[in-house]
Amino acid sequence: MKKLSIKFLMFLIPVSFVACKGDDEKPGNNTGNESQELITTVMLSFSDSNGGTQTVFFRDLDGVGGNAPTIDTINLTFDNAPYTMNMMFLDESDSTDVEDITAEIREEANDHLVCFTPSTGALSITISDKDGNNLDLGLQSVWSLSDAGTGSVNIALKHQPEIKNGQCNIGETDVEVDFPLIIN
Amino acid sequence: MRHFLVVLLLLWSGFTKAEHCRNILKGQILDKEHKTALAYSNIFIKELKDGAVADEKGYFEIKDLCDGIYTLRISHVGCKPVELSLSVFGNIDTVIYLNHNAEVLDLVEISAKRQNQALSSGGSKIEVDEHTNTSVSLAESLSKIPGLSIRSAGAGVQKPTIHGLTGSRIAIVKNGVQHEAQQWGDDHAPEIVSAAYDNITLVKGVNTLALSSNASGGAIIMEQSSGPSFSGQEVRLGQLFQSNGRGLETKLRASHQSKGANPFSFTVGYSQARQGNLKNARRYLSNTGTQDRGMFYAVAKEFKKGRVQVDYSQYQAKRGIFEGAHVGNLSDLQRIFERGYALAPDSFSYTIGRPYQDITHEQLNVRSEYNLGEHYKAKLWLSRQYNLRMEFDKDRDDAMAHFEKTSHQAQFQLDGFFEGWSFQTGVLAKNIQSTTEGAYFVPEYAMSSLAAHFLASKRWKGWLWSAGARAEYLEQELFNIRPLKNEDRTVNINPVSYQLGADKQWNSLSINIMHGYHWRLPEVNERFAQGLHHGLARVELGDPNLGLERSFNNSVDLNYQITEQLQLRSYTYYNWYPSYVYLKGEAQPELTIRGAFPVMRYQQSEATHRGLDLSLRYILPRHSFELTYSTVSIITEDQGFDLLLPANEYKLNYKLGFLENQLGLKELSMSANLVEQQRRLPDYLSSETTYFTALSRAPEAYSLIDLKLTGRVSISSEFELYYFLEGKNLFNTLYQSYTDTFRFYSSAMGRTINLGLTLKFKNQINKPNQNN
Repeated sequence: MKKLSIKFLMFLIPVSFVACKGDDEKPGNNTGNESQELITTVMLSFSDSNGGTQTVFFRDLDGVGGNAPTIDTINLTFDNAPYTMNMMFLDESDSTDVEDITAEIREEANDHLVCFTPSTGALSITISDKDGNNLDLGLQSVWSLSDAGTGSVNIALKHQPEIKNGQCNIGETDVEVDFPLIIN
Repeated sequence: MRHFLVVLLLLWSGFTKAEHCRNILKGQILDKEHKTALAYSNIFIKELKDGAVADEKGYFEIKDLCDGIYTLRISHVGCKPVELSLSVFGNIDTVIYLNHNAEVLDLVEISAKRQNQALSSGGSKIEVDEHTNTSVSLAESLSKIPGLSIRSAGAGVQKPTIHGLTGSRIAIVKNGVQHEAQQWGDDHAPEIVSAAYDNITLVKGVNTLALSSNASGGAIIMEQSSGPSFSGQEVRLGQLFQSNGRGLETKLRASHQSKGANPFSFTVGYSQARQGNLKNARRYLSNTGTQDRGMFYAVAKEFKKGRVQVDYSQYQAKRGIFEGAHVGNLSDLQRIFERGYALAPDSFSYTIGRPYQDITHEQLNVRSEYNLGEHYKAKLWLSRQYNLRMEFDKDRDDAMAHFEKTSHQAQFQLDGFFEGWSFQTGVLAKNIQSTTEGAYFVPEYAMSSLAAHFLASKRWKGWLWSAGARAEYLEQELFNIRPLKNEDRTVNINPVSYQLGADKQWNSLSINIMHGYHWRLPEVNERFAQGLHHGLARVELGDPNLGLERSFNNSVDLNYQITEQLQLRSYTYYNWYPSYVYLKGEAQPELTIRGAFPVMRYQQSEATHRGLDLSLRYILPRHSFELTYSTVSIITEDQGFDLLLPANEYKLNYKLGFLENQLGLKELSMSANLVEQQRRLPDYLSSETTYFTALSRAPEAYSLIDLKLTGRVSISSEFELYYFLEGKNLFNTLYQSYTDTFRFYSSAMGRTINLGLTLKFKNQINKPNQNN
């Protein structure tokens, strides 16, 4: 019995090591850049009624912490109104591999809604695209002007899986940015 | 209603005072480590001033005992005597372990024994009775001890805190080896199957030097036996049902010990648990299910001069995170503040969806001991731990954080006894590799350390004096540190820590005084974190320039036997941290693409940590009452009280022992917990007032009542059935705990009724002749 148990013990030790799980990586390989999808950029492309175009960005390429975001100002002219605006959400954290996240949002249109809140009554925004349930989506919109002035526009991308009803006050906020606004 | 119940129980206790004086107490005294008999041990019952002497096989018997709770003092030549409290309601057959080498200074051991003197200094021990233990969560098993509480992130994630300290300020030691987990903040609980351990000891305060330099808050020591306490086999099959969450847990454990003076023993075990959405007093908490699986084994062989033990445990868990707690940005959170709770589906399901955590922990220990003559013992321990934690976010399919940590350690220790001096000296070498995948939250690192410690104690002028020191060399290499523009950094430190202690026992009073100095290298997240916490809707930033957190710790533990029935214990501590690390609210919020978020940054300032645990015990035949009170505060120079301090708490425990009866009923216990509203709140000086005002708003006081009935039925000489029925939060109180970081989203767990059944099979070879 004694011999047997020693043999058993000798057998178990290597078996234990075999059973162990291990880490395939050594520390130092993860630069944090090959990260998961992350929205770094909101891009607004305006086409005015006279054929002119304008693109403005909100960019925070290094994510949370680090450098502050860069925010362009939206310059609209009363004479060129109304504007058609198409927006895109991008992951530019890796400059060699920019990812367009707009396609994914469009695919899951039934779960997403872009909400617009201008600070001035001089600007009114009407969403012109719909999801599969005929509710507003917001990737495309028409911007009409009634007066000159300055202010800001708050743009929020809401994630509302299975609860979307066209309202902005539910769901989780994936993006929320404020663009300065000048209307001449 | 609950007050009425308390009064009723109190009255009832007065009427049921029938005494039964034909109980027989018998047992065997064994060496704790080698499970060998300690011949001719002395057993003395202090209350009766009477006792017995064990035979050459360690067996003893005391007849005609009345029902009651007695203090036994057990002594053996060469052992430090042990006192323990034993409730006798019916015949008792017990095994008592002494540490035969107890003249050797073994701090953990001493602390464990102290607790056995009913209430006393330095440590607190809870025996985890496997037959009646419901809690999968370690934190919950521990929270019965005064001064211990739970810090949680929702109902599923619980971390133990000792006097308000948690994370790397406390050590969790499993089978002699410190648990190496990943504790990046409050929403990451340690990965431990408490069911695998036979007993859990709490070593409070400074008495932890042999284990770690970090543990200024204390240590939780968990031990697993390698086999049954007798020669033969034992198999236990347990089933647990939990009404809240409709949980089911199955545990199977088989163990064997061979005959002879140098037995071979092993234990194998498996446990599996599944639980669905929990419910607070009003609503189901969507996505709070868990799935756990654990297996363990231990194999040991005794030799004439030593012992070898190999133990292995593996734990896997999938834990849902309450769906409503995942908020996109601050305005989402502010809507929840206004509503008072988070919107999430109010329905039951076992399905675990995003967000969830997937956790694996594995530990392998090889421990050997060798007796070098009568007074010296050498130990060599080798250990490997592997931890994998994957966190799956809610928003996008591949959003995931992935942390891996592998640690190896080797420990050599020599215990000895020389001319009235006990000493212990040892060397501990450790290597840790930590990697991550996915987005940056903390840097990857490799760490190596070498520590040496020396402890000595001596009895002089009626006091037991002890002193110890520990020196450590530590090198940590960190890679691609985001806040340092992806630079690498190497940290070298070689600090020293020490502790001093004095113990004295008079007739009815014992005292333990401790003073020590500890240091802690701030965790990687405290120095280099940079990320957004979705559950907390804030940006947490580390400070790369944090220095060592140093602390001077002082405690006094008094234990006073006022009358034969009445005992008072107080544990007072005052710790001074010249450089305490804590989270400070920043004045300016940070603008991100999700909106502006409040920022909290790890800071360091002077702080004091002080508090008191008081307990009063009143023990009558068949009844015991215990009232405990704990209070704690940590005051930082910069921000006032630290965040998430446990509120003042009162606990009243009442136990009623049953006389022998057909149902095998053994004990009814009732506990009432009263938690005051926390008034020790941080002073945030921030422009982001809504958030910080909410953060420092404490929920109202609450009280919870639990009831538990336990019993044991003998089916045959081989089979026994243990059972328990318990109700927790019996009145389904709607409450929030200040130390729950998810308190904004949901109230804490409502009532649950638990039923546990364990079938135990026992085959004892060479059943000893008790008259011998």
